[in-house]
Amino acid sequence: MSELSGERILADGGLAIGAMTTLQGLLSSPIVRKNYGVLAEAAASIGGPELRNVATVGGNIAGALPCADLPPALISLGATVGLKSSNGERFVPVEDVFIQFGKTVARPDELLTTIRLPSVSSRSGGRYFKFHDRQSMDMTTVGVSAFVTLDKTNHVFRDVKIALSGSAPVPMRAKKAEAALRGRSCTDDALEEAALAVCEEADPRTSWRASREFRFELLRSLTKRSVRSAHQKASLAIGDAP
Amino acid sequence: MKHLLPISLHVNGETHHVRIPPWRTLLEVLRETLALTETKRSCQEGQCGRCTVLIDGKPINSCLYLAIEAAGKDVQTIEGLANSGVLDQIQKSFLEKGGVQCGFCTPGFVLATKSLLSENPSPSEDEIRAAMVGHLCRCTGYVQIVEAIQDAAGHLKPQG
Amino acid sequence: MLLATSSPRANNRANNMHDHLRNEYDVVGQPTPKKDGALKALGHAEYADDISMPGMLHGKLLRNPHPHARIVRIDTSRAEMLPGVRAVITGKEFPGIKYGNLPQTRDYLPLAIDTVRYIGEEVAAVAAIDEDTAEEALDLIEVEYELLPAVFDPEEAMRPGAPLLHDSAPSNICAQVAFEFGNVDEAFFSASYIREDTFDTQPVKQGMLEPHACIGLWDSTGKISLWSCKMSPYVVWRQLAMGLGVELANVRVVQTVVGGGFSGGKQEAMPMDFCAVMLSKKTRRPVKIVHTMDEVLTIGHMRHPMKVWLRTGTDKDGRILAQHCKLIANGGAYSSIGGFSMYLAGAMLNIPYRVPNIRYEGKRVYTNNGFCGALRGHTNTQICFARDSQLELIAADLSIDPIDIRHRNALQPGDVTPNGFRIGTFAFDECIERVVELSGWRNKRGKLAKYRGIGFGCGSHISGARLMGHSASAAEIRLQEDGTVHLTTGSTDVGQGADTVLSMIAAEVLGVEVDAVRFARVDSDSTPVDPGTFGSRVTFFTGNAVKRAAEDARRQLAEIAAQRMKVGADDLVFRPGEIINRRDDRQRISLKEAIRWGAFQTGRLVISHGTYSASDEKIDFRTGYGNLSPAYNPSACAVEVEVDPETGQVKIVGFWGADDSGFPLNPLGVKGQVIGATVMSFGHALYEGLIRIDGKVMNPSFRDYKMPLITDIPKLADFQHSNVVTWESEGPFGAKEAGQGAGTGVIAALANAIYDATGVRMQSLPMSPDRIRFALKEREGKKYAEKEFSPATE
Repeated sequence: MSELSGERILADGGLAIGAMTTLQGLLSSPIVRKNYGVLAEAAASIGGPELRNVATVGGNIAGALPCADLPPALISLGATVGLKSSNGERFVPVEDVFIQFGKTVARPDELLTTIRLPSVSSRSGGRYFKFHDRQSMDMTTVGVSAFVTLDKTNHVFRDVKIALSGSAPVPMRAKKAEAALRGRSCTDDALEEAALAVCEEADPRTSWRASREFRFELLRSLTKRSVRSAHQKASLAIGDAP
Repeated sequence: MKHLLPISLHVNGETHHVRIPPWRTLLEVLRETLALTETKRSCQEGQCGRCTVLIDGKPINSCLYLAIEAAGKDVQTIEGLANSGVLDQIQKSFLEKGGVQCGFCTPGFVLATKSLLSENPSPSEDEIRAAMVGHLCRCTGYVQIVEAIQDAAGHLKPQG
Repeated sequence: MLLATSSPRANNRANNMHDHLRNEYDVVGQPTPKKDGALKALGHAEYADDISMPGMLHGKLLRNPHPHARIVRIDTSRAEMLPGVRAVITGKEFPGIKYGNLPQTRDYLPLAIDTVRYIGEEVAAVAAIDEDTAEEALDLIEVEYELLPAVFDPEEAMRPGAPLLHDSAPSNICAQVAFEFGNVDEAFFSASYIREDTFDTQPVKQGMLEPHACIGLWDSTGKISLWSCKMSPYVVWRQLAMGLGVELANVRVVQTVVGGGFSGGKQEAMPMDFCAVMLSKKTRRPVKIVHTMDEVLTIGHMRHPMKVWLRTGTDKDGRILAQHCKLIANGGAYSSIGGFSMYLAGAMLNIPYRVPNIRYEGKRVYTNNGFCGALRGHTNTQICFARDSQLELIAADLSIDPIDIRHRNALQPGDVTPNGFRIGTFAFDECIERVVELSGWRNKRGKLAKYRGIGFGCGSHISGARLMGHSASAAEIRLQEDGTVHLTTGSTDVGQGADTVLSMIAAEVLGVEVDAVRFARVDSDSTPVDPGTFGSRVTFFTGNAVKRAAEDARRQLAEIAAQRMKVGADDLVFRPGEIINRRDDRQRISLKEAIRWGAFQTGRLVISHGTYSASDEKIDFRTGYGNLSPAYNPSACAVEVEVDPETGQVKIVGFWGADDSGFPLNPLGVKGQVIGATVMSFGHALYEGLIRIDGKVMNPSFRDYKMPLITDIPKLADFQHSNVVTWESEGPFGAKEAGQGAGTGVIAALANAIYDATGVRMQSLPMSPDRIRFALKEREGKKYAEKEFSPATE
């Protein structure tokens, strides 16, 4: 069971994190904070110390709830999860893990054992912005994770990955929004187009917690903010340190 | 009876051998099996911090923690903090700064403060707040609680 | 109260008066830690749920799932047969006597018999060997309901043809209060400016951390005992006796340590209390019942949601000439305190401003929701939100400075309001100016960055009320031979600090340390009868009773000492811990020695009593005329906010408040009370609210019923409160209330700050992000949703 918590640097420069790693463990990892800051940020935004000392990375994924905060960060980082059974182990990209509300692709005999993060290049950066009524603790109404990689000029988006929480029955990737930004500079127009694209592909529900219309308002705002901020981080830093 | 699992719980420096159903939370076992009622049940869903205990020095919500998970770990409740009824500095600061009104939230805050100050002896105001975010208080409005924690930090900080 | 403020002048004034008074006294005026604080910090305080008795059983309540239904049949047989279950009861177990808080509001039953009127109402109870078994048994109780049409909105409930909740209430009007003073129509006619606005507020819960909990015991002699976290144990005592159809002498209510109350269920006898004792009767064992937090948030007991229509007429300088207020309160399924709440709302319109002509119509309406009653600030909070929001709107319309308009209308000491409130000390102008200074108002208002704003809000409260029923307080003191003072009252400490401040009063008079006073919790078998803790009455009413009891104890002690020292009692002076002959100070005796000598040698025990009833003045609750309280408190505050225009989220970045609570007897306690009240109002303004769909509470959990957290308050340097010190001669050592008034102006201040920041006027609570965002959008005239995208699926 010890392989289920802790972290291990992979041969390709990426990072493997055990599914039983607590959220607090995740965000106190120097490597996670330095190279995968968006993931640390997402973890830090969940609950308070008491919850984070017990809640696990695997749990946040396996629950397959649309408001979970780690999946968007993981999706935007291009992470994969390891599903292990007595028949062997397979790796599935996090963005393909969620079938429907509360259900993942894991078969009944499979255990979610690891999360694999690819190596990050310099000139990349990610931010996770989530909305909640109070300043802390609340369930996420809507969250946007943006992870961007810039080209050699340090201005233009070479690659963008955007993922959302609270915007559909499952955590989802906003591919139209990504396409709207690739190859462009971080201008107000580009951000606005990306925000509109996110609203086209997202499908948030109206619940007594928040209406669909309000979730769209939030998505529009948070998309622009997280992309702009990720761009700024990427242009300043080497790797994705917070 | 076939549901009962024997485990050893180390609470406040004492070892207790108990036989409990595996689904029992640590909160239930503390209160009902061990009759340690200083850890309270309130929201029972990890939102209020009232059931906080320290496990290996880290604060957790015992209402969401299975008792069997605590086997072999060092569990500390508020009872384990004071020395035969003598207040420790954190408790003293809470008292002197007006951080105690109805007192229901107090032990949770005090334990969380102990954990905070052991890792970060000179926390900023923001760090104090971030550490206490899992604790609800309806009486004080938090100001005197922050002041109490700052006071405790000031007294406990290693000198020099 | 000493604060680091931006204004040395303000600080100086506060400190001078306070220091002057503090220097006069040894105990009162000093910041004093809470007497039971050490016990609580150690984790040794025993709350009701911590109590265990030999053979104790555990009870659970079955709750009805329909908003309105007739109970056709209840079959408890399967539940009774579950191993571990010891008793199951229904409403028929009780005598069917309805009880309530006022003679006109007796509509409570221990358990529903024929009809259930809101989702969550109790219909049966089980006692079993443990909670799990009791829970399982609930599922085995079969209840057949005949569904009845339900109504949730008070205006719909009043329409002809609406489902009727109670036969006694045609049009579902639980209580109606109307009063008029002065010549309102004439005043409006002469007004140069008139404004009308409507405001509405949401259902808000007390939110205390300790859920209701009790242990009931009906012993073989017929004595009925209840241990519970009650704020008003004697109210519970009487209600239990009435609902059970037994003599008061057979009932004993023992108050346990209260983990927060803020009124509500801890103020009265609840179904759980009746069921615990009745289950005990059937099983011959003690029975404990503890609510889960989701039960606490589902059942009745909450703040009245209100629709407040307010019409105000002023002269050209913004002086109020007339006000007309129509209020509809969504009272829920039962009366609680009924008409008193409606009277109070209208009465509170008369303070803190001068309203020479006033007309008020308040209706409390039954609906199939959880019922409403008192909650810290009780109707005053909603009234102040409406009135102080409107006042700034009026100021803006007339181009009058918002601070000036408050000063122009402020009540002054010595005023008598149209409804008969006689204002004693009332440093309202000073409170306003103190806040202006502390907050840096003049440098901020109109000068802050976009989407940053500052707003002002005022309120006020009473220091206890002259009630029709039980209004007076009593205290008893016994001096023990070790020099300690045994103090009993019928008032409860619920965290607010009554134990400490009452002990301080006794200690001051008797010249002992606060630690030498033993403050007993209430036990109806042995403590003096009392209305309890509500309406900010304890420091004032009970404090006066304690002071008188202590003075009488001192007089008795002086007589004993005089006899012992063979001098005249008038020759004696009291110094801390001893009694000295003023003519020859070598003749002295310690308190302990005097007490002991009196008891041992003369059989004279020092047992004293004191009472306080705020005089014989009566309130005519029909006309609304009368001096409700012996003292009134003004309060003022300013709050600074940052609004995120894209999300509507409000961050409170600064708060400055000032109140006139007379002489703060325990500044440490007063600070905790005023800030606590303030932060509760933050929640009420921005985050809280029961979300109900067709009578079902969707958010009965602290996860979704959002109360302020430590990260929701401003930084400490920007969160300040100041006491404007006065000396209220009617109060004990000059004191007035400090637990409710401070919260009353906060919501309007926030509404006014949000308006200042965004130009958007919120008239509906809570002022949640989505509402602010859409109001901003509307104001900016953008139509985003329609033309710019089409949703993926519908």
